[in-house]
Amino acid sequence: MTEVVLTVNNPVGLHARPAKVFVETVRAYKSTVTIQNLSRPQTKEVPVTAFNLLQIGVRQGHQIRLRASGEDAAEVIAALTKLVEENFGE
Amino acid sequence: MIGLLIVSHSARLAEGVQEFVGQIGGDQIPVVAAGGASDGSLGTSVERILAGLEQLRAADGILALVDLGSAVMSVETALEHFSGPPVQISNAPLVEGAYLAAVEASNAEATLDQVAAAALQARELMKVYE
Repeated sequence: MTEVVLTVNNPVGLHARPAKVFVETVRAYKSTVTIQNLSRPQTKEVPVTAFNLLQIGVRQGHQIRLRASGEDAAEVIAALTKLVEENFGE
Repeated sequence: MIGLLIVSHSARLAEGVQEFVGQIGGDQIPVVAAGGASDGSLGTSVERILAGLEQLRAADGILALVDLGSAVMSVETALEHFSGPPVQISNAPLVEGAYLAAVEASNAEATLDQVAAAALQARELMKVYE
């Protein structure tokens, strides 16, 4: 299992287009990936789906924790980390 | 590949939803707007809907999203004259449903049922956190 905690800095947060790019990135790997919005304590750790991303409401400045388990766990976490750190190319 | 048909009583609303889905990266999937009455005024048009379905003929399946229930009858009437890929009319809210459907359909292997189920989740979407 691989885990990382990241701060989301892009203006829209993890919504709309960034959320879609995030889901598509996870889809390209075999490992299962979960996400938790540490900045919204009332939200739980959930699988990465478009619906779940919208529900946990990750805004600019929020901290998220990603966990991946599976054969390519390290790779998918690296890919998602790069995506977030590059502000989804926005 | 699943296509989306956006049906509304307003041509501009349908085109707006089409634009919105396109902007969030929905350009990988076919999204056709079929809004307004045949003269462009407020209403729905079986001809415009049928033309929209024809544009999506190459898709493996089509999910039709509507603004209000009264548009469903026009879609059903159009379907009587359409022999192409299977079509489902969604109970999802128009904008949120189109968004979730587009994300699901961007996976080329997604089936019509999966896209339809993804759109339907939009009914539970919360926007404002108490």
